[in-house]
Amino acid sequence: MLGYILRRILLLVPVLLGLSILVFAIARLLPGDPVTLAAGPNATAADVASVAREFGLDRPLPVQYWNYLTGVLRGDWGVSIFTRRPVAEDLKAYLPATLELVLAAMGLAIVIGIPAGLMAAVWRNKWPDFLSRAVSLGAISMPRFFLGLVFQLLFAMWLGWLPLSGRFPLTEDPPPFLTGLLTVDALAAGQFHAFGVALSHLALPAIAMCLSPLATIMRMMRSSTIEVLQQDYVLTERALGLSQRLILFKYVLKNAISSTLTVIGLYVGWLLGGTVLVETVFDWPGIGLYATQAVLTQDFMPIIGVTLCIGAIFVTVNLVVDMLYGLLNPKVRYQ
Amino acid sequence: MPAPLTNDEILLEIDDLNLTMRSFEGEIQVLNGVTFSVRRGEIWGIVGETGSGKSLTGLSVSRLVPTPPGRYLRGAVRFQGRDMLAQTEETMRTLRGRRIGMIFQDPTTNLNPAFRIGTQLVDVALHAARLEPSLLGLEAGASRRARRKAAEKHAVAMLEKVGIPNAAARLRDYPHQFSGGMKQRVLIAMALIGRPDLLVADEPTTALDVSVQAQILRLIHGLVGEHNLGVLFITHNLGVVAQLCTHVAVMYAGAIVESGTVREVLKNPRHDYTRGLLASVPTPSMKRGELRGLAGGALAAEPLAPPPPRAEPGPVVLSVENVEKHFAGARRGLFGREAPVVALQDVSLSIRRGESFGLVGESGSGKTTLTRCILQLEKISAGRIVFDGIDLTSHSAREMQALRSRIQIVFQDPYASLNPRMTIRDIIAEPLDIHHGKIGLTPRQRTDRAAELLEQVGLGPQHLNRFPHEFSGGQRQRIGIARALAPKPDFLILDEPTSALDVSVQAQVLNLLHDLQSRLGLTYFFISHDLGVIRYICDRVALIHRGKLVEQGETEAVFTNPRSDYAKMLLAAMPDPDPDRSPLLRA
Repeated sequence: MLGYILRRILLLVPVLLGLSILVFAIARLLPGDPVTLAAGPNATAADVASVAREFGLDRPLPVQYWNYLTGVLRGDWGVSIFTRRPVAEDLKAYLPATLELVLAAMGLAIVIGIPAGLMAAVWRNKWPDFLSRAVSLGAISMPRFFLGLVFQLLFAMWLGWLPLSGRFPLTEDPPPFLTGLLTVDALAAGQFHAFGVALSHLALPAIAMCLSPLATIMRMMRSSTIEVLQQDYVLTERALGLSQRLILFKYVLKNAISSTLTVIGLYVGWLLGGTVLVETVFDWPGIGLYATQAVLTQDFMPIIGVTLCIGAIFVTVNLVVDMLYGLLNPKVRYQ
Repeated sequence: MPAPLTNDEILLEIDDLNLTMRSFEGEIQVLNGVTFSVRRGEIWGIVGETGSGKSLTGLSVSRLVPTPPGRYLRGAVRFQGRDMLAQTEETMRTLRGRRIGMIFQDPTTNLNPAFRIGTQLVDVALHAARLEPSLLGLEAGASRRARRKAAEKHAVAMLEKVGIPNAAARLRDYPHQFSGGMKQRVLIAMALIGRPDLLVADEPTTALDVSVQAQILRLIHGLVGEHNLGVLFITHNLGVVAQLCTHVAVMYAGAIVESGTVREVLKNPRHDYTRGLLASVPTPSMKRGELRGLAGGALAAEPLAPPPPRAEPGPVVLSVENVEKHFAGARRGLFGREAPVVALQDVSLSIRRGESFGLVGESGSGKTTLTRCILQLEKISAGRIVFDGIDLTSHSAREMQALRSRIQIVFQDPYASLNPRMTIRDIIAEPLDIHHGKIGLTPRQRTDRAAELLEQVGLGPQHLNRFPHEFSGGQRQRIGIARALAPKPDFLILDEPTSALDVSVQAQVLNLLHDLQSRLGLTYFFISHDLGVIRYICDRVALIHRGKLVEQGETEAVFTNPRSDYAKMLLAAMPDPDPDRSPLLRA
């Protein structure tokens, strides 16, 4: 098992290197010239050349790549041509917001989706099954930004239960920076009021975001549970008198959950890359808005930085999923 | 509590049991007045073919038939005096695993793959002792921890009893770390850990090799004596019944057609169906052409095909010369690998034109690897395979493609080897499309050829537009044979072609193969683990064990005068449907 993990971690290196080369090349090959854009409308050719020199853009592409790569290893992710702010600092500010949102959404989706899927399978073709299927169909067919708007209308405007948008109001004192996830930081510092504020802002965007993975997890869980319930060993377990509860929550669950786990891993990447609509609707200061801004102005360094971060998180999550898979399935473990 | 138990108490009484199943075609009666009773110490064999209702009878004992779609019309299942059809589900649960233990057919699918066997055994033990802590040697109200500890001790003792070496350490192993026979032992331990009075075993040895089967039968026999159990042993194998059972009930179409002591029924069968069943089993002592089939539940009057003439053996058509096959070992550590797995070791054999050459071996012996090597689906590690003077191993994939029409294969599982979404016409014509290449056949020719092939295997043109699921197992295997014959091969590999079939159907397919061989001059390479089938169909035979050929020669010589220990062991382990030859019952 240890050898397997080490081998997989070693494999991450070429994957991330390949990703960085790809992203670097594509960001530079895009049509349009950010240097001219950044130098301003009245810039002379000499001004443009000096901006290019300032950012090292006059050197050959491989040299630029090499400088970038060595920089990243030292913690220097380059500087935005447009805002002239270091990308590393921006990432540190925006990435935790998105991560918090995605983690909360995935957490909700898992905590609700897995038991709901199990129940739907056990009461197949009875009302819990029909209910879960109706909910999941609705959740999948409605776009996230639309759901976001509906939630804002319902819970913020009409009922007034939750704040309309934003992540943390300027009028409140934010918790001391630890992980950048405000809810976690507030709890760690023992500031329960701040936790409540952060949570109330997190709730709506997280729910809007969780519905689609929730529906998928529920459906996956339902079909894999139905399949497992038909396995011979379930009949044996019943024939030897084990209780329905023990069979379901112990023996069936562990077998049924592995395919769902794969879906969860894939969804994390999908959510990370697709937060921009929800962030726009809820004015959430995350990486999605930051990346969109960078793409619109063709600002290389932020684009590359964001893509690399998402890529790294995605492969790491999937590595964790594969390891969990090994834990769940002893046959995989020893290969 | 039931009254104190006498030694020959009636454990189970099934009385005029009638069960229907709802299906798309309406309600079908699947059990039709089943009646018998089992006393302590008796081993009842329930014999029948697919769909005879034997498994549903077994499941009815613990009321495990789902209702609906099942519905009991009439009759009773009484276990130790209780009417099982009237108990609450909660009462049934206290009986399951405690008073009634069950084992099912396939040990690889009946253990939960995601849990250590210790966990599974302990849970069953804890369940059985829930109301009776004394089963685990505990007082009522013992702590959770004490119960778990006692259950674990009990599990180790049980594993030792069923013959699992080093039991305490193996509790922590997962099912896939056990061989098939060992898994079945674990399942037997699970079924017996609650000290049941009745054991229901549904085809517990069907998925096992004969040598392992013999061990498991001996184990069950021993446990019955030791614990004074009653056993319901459901099987399709008359040989196994003759070896193990004291009584037998023969089922056909949901009803018991004949029952009694094993000797009465198997020595002097009164019912036609029983006689037919007995005549359909190829036994090691049976000669070619003696095998009969069953027609509509009765013995067919004549052997289905006349014994084929023994042609003079022709020249060698396939020779396998010193073939080795190694597979890369499992990964280990960061970059390492374990030692390669040697699947075939110095295998040499030669098959002559027009003969049937048998290859016998148990699971994991290398039979399938060898056929895959012959078909060039695997590259061999060393040696040569020569077909009709052409060295297959030195051929490119493209050159091999031309030869493939001459070497065809019929697979073991007729349910898995036909594409469910293709019509029979397309299934049979697919090899024609491939091997006629660019020339192509007109649709008319294609249909004619497919119809002709179907007729050769005893089906007809009316079947051309149907789909595989409309056919029985035996018919599907005929379709598989027709497909293999489509490109007009002269060499046919038959990989356990009858092991998924009922004996009566097996007899028909074997006779069909005989018939085709004599008409078309085919050479057969026949792979089987069933010595009876091999002896019936093969001229010469080779025995493979752990990747090595341990014996080969004329079939008659190998069977009457085996030289290797392995051959002797296999022959001794083969269950003979004659109760007088049972080593267990004689003792």
